[in-house]
Amino acid sequence: MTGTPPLALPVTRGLPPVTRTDLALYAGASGDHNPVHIDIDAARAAGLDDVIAHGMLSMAWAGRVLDETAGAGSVQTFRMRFTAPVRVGDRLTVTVSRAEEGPDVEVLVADAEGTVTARGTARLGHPVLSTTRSRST
Amino acid sequence: MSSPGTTVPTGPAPARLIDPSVVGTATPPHTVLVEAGRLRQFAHAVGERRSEYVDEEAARTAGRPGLLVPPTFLFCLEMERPDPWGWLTAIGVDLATVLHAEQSFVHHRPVWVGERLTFASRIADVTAKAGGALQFVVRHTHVTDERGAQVADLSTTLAVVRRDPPAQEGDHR
Repeated sequence: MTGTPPLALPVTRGLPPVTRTDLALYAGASGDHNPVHIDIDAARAAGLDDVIAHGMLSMAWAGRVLDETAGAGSVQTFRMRFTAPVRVGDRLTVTVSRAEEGPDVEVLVADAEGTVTARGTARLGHPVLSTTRSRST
Repeated sequence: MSSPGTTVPTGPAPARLIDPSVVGTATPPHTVLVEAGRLRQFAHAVGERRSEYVDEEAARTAGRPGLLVPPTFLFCLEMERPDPWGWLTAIGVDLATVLHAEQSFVHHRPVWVGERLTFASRIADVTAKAGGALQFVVRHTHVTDERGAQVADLSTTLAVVRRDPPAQEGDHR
């Protein structure tokens, strides 16, 4: 196989504003029922003003952007650090760019004020086409 | 326990350091069937609409064994067990003080709906900073298939935060 054609990076994708419905659906779908994400009373009891989004919801959104960029099933490794809370109403942007060195891409999630809420790296391979077995790696 | 008439302090509980000897503690492995319905719920929740992840017929027509598992979904399957945070409470951590600090995935191969995956987790590290005001717990999860072959490795870092007591009256910043 020849190598994959180089990806057209950077890719920047704006997401719709975060809603309480997003948090409720993600809690149900993920199985992470930590009440600070879905119950404002529990959030306040924990010292927060309001519920905050699951870090993993941001990572799932970022993962989708990665996977759309390089093709379904292309994400081989993916690591993120959650650096600031994401709140209801936040308008997030996911940016995927080439790392300065090495084969990985950098992934950044930021809110409308430019605060980075999550950052990380990923390694993108071939998309999965019609076989279960990946090509020789 | 406070006796009747005493005032219960409203501040957070004092920092309790996690015993470092919990490092190495394993959670009993659990096996999960990767279900289409569960995956569809996840896809809906994260705005994933591509046929690879939501349309079983299209997937089969394209010669795939079924729906493909999208990035980060294995984290959800890891929690597919009774009391997914039980391991945390078992080491004395209150879930309300926990923030997800970092997460990583290494995928050794694609995963498809219909597979049976086994998740084996253990606590890999515990560190304390700022005198215990901030603690980190790292947990590693190894995912294998029915033949015992490796599928993925997950690492989760949780921050256990002792929040400062609410500002006192007259304590202006």
